[in-house]
Amino acid sequence: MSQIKCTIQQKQLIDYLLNELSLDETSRLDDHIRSCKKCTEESNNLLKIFSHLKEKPQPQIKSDLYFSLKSKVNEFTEKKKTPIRSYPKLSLLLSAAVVLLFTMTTNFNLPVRTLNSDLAHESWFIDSSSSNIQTIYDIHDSLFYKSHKENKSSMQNMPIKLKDQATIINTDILSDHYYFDFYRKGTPKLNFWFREIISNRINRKNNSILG
Amino acid sequence: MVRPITAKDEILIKKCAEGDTDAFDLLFKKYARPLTFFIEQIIKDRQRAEDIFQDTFIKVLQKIDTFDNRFRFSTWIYRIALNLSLNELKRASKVNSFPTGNSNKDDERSINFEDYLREENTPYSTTERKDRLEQVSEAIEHIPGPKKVAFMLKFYHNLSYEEIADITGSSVGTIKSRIHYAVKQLKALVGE
Repeated sequence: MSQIKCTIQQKQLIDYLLNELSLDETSRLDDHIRSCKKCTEESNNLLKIFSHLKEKPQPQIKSDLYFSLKSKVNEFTEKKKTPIRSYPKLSLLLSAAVVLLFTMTTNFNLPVRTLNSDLAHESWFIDSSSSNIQTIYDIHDSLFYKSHKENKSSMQNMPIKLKDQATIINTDILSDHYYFDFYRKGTPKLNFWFREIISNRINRKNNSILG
Repeated sequence: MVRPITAKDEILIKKCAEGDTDAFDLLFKKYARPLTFFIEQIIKDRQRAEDIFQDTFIKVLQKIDTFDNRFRFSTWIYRIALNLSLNELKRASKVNSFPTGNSNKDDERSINFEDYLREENTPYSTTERKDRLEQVSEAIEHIPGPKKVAFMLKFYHNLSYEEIADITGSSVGTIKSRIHYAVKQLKALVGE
């Protein structure tokens, strides 16, 4: 290691070790540190401190916190669902305004759109801890095929395969869930029914494997 | 083929606000531990840290419609947690300003808002022999408030300078110099 004139400051070394430099700067420092004894020593010292920091464990979360927050969230969602119940006059006024607006703007000759023909945004979280994606596809597709045959009117011209419909998200954070995000036809009840059956069948399958 | 993409937490929180318990579980799993840890590091009280974490979560639910999509959700939730923690320090320091007769100034846990705002160090003295990890942890406690927050977000939460600047409302340059200072300080304190 030859001695060269060193102009590197400690703060540049810190940014380098924390991956906060541009590619060009990183590569320049790579070259420099290899040939500078002072910077090699300083980098090693800093790395020792950084490694101690990584050892500090984060506290465990108790189930009390989970249940306490969940009940607060439930309270919040309940309140959100009934925001104008305490203002009956305002509610009445709003209803009258909606009816008036509807009668003023609706062309009654148009065919009435039903919920069944609308695309509904669906987000499904399905436990994937001991089932693979193909199992979920298979269960969904066979269910959909059966439903399609029995009730053509509600799901006409829809692709049967879940694979073709949904964007699937499964990151490290969501490692024990699959998250499906897509738009599809069908009533909310029907879509809910689909999700529940898939989840139940997977759970049953898991239990039978465990049992 | 499964296409892995980043989960959008703002979608999850909206689902959660509509009563989706799966979305709640995912968000809880992702944020409960790091945020409670982050808050606890600031206010030095585990029980209150859990309360503030819950307040943070509910505030996010209430304000999700005002969330600006140009920013990251994770930095937004940290910013709310930081603000609530600082409010707690402020509240606690007002309460502590009344002489109660049983306050202990030497107690490391009795950090207050004025202490947080202070930019200088507390005198550090260690006579006992401690293992290096404990020594480093103790040294971190002596880094003054804003520098400590920047430092923790960098080392314990692996956030970038830019993200930390978003959370704390400071410039990237300020965050850089706070972290440089804190590392230098830590190095001097633990004698590496």
